[in-house]
Amino acid sequence: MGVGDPYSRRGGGVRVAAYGIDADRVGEGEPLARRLRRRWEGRYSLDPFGADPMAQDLAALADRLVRIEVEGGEVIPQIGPVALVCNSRPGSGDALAVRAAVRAARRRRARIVGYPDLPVVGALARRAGRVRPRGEDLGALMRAGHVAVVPLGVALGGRAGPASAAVLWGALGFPVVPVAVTGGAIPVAGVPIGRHRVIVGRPLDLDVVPSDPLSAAEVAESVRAGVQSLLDDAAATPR
Amino acid sequence: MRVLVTGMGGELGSRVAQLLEARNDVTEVVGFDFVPPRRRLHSSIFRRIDPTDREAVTAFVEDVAPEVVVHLGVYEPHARTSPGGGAAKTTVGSVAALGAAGRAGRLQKVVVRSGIEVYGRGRHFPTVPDEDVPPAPASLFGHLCLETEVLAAGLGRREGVPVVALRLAPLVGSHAPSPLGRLLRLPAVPVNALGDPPFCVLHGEDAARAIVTATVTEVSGPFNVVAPGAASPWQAVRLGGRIPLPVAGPGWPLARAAAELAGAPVPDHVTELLVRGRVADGSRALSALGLTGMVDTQSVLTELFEWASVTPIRAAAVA
Repeated sequence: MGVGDPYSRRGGGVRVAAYGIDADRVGEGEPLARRLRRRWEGRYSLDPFGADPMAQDLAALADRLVRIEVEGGEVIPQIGPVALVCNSRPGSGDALAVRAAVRAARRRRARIVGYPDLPVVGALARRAGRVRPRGEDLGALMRAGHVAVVPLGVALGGRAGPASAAVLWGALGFPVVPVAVTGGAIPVAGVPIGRHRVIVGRPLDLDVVPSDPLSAAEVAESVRAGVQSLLDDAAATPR
Repeated sequence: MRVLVTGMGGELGSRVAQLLEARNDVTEVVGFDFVPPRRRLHSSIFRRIDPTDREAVTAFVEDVAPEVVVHLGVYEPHARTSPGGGAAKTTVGSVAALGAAGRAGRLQKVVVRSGIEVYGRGRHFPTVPDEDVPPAPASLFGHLCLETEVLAAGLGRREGVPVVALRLAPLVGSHAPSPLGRLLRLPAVPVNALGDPPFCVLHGEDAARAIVTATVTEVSGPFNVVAPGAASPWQAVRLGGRIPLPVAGPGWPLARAAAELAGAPVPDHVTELLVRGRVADGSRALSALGLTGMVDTQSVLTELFEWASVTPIRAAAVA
């Protein structure tokens, strides 16, 4: 499908104006002049979450500051939805590392769940592919067939932080994969140095429908335990 | 089956009536509205009744004794009526028509036009709500839609019949009377200076198809019907080659007043759309109603700006 065709196919045979750009997969660039001209004329792709593939690619430039090595990247599907739940250490860009890993392993644009809820900043974050941390929005993201990166609560190295039951129930019925991020955790002026090690685990078996707060919390807890056991394995088998 | 179409005079109602007329399983299409139909109807029976005239509506509907009610008499503020007038027509007309349809005793199904305005917007609400998200409207039109859904659901319980609520995205089109469409066609359009949230719209033809499908298919419950994809206010304004005017906080009342003077009054649900966005997850309707080939949001907007110009007949062609 050429750049000249303003449509690209998404799941379910639904056609949306995308100007030859696949909202999910990273493609070849188009000449900058043409790209800017389209933008001036308002002809650019935007999805219901407010994400714009060009803004996502710009944000992904920041991922280049985070050097990564990926283990188990083949677990991430080529197409279709998946929720990657990762640990998150303060200021170490772990979610960015997972996003970069998805890009490196599968050339897909991953959506990070959660952003600073501020005027302008929040709007820009959503433009760059961030999604509001709510179960309903994660569910909609899964139904639309995207890759979601769901960071757990912030915790220091080697620990998986608390999981939000209110967010994670949205991913039930879809593949939920724990991801452990280690290394590269010494931030200097906000820029992490050293190489991040991104370990993608096996999809979790979450064959439950949380009908009440307790079972939702149990699901969240088993997701957290999945990430913790990956972290423990990573600590036992250093590079 | 005998179908009653309320709000048959409007852009949507007259198209739905046309599509119903063309079906073999629909024997009779009967409707009323406060304005005459915008389209040519062949076999439909139309009566011009103001929905606020409770006695007239009740008598007409009881006389018709419909098997299916397609309730499109939900009047968007500043589309064809003032907000107050639209609210009165919607509320009084809904109570009278739905109540009478129930009492007439032959009711089998109710399809009601609602809008994705029923969902709350803002930081405490999901950005892309599906039908399981509890409605929390913050605008007059949202409240009218929800109120109508609640009335229809009550009727459904009372009579033991299925009720379908179609929560439509904003309908815009070059011919459709719509406050959003009118605003976007102004030479300069107020947009949110502090953000650019996505919204989606719906093509009138897709809305009519969805309503007819919901009428003849065995489904019930609420469905979001939205065009695929999304656009943002800044983008929509540029798609039409208009000038975006960034507005924030106290600037909004001023911008609304200026737009009203320019001929495009801005009801509160349109301001909400510009400031907080308006999208919903329409995947359930896609599978349950089998909607295919829907026109996507950006194409609907492009069409909005392509108002067919008058093509003069050349002198040579005439001679």
